Amino acid sequence: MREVAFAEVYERDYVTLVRLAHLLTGSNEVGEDIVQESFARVLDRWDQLDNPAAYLRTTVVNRARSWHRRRAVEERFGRRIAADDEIAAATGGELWDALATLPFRQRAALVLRFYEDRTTDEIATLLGCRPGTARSLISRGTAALREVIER
Amino acid sequence: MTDDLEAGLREELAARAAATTTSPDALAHIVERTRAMPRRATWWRPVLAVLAAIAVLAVAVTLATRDQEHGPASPEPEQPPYTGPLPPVEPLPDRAPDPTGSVSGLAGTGCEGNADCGGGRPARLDLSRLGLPEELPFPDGIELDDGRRFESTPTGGTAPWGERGMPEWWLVDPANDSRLSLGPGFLETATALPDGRIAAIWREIAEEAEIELRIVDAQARSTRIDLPAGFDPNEIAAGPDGWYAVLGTVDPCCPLQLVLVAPDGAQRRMVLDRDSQTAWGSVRISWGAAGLIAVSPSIPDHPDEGDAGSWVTVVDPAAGEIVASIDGWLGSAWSPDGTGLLVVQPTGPETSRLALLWGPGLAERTDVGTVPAAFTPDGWTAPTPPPP
Repeated sequence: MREVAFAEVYERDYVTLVRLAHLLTGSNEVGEDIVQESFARVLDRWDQLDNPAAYLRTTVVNRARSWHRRRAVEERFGRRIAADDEIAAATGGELWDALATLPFRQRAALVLRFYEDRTTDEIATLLGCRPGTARSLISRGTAALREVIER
Repeated sequence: MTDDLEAGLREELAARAAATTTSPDALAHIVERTRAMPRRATWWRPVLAVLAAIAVLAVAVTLATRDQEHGPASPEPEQPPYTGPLPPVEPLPDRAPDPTGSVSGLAGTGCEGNADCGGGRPARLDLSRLGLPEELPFPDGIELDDGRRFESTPTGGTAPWGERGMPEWWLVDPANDSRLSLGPGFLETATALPDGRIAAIWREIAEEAEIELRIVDAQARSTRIDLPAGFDPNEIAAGPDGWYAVLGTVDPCCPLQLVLVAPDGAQRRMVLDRDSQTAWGSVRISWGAAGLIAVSPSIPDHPDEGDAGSWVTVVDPAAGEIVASIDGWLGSAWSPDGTGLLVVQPTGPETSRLALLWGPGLAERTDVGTVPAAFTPDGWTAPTPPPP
């Protein structure tokens, strides 16, 4: 029964979540790694979860955030993580490159808003901030993108 | 341009998402990873309890030696030292405040019990009955403690984001039946000061994104307060005697900074011992009635991340010192008299352990109980006295 239910969630959500993680991290490879790890954790505790699909989504967003955090720390100490090369190779679009320059919360707000069409209340809930801050993150993100592109 | 940008961004994100590839062996990899995970068992729970007791002891030792470890927070070298009178701080009594009344905060209660799956929604918890926090709606505008509120006009409904423009803001005072315009912009947060003025974080998206700290008077006239160069404010807290504190960063990657603003606009800046990157949500700030300032993330980190995103830093603004820096706990709800701080320790996806920090240096801790949610307190209201 557990295997059947897990297979249903996997079939329905795996590709969608890899796409989301790809957009949040800028890397297809990193995104898929994050989603596989998230699925593995959910499978490991499946029986304890009332809503595994929702748990999965937040786990993916959180792990993308953690990846950005580790990346920022490693950059600050002069080290590069391997995925940077993969990300650099994947760039090319002006907007995509500009998106990579944003702080994670602005990037996440833009992806959740313009890719997932989430409301500001939903974004505020996911980011643990006020709706006004979520609106501001979206507006500041778009303003920052415009500035980068026009530079 | 903004509309083009939004349309372009939607296209870019959709195209990148469509181009995403997945491994044909993904399911096998997931199963393999699951098998490689350490098995959870129940026999070690007593061991965990002993380890937790040791951790509590370690925290107590850390608190007892905190002054030696932290010392004065370092001021920014380019800021001239502020030499005027400082906001007062009362010594904390050697007794815990009563855990009565209700606390506001953010709760992850929207996911059928898996509190960590929903981030944080506004909620209120009755301290006399530690049940599931009552979920509250997101406010339409910004409510101030004195009854006034900021309202904004609709910003275009479902129109593309770039076509909505900036919302128009109004200061509404029900007591005077007044509704005064502040103009268009993004009002992120605002706090009523004891003298009737309002400190507000205000952003405008024009040719360049601009951010301001504004002081708004009762007639909705606003004055811009210049902040240190590059300082990006996130939260404000009102203090005593017309002081207020602004929390922010100079760079998203860098330590949190606290700017204390005197009634005349003079400022004193402190660099805290926490990095903005360690908080998943926003970081809240609260200035207690006894004079201490608490800084803590608005929601706990994901349980898989451990305690990295759970911390509390308490600042003595008069001394310019960090008086407590605690890992594994979070919360910014001062007791109404400011002598105790209500904090929580995430103990699982569905539970939080509540405790009171009190006493000199907040070195004492008293357990309050547990709640069946991921709940982070950020405001504490005294119980309503019975009618005479």
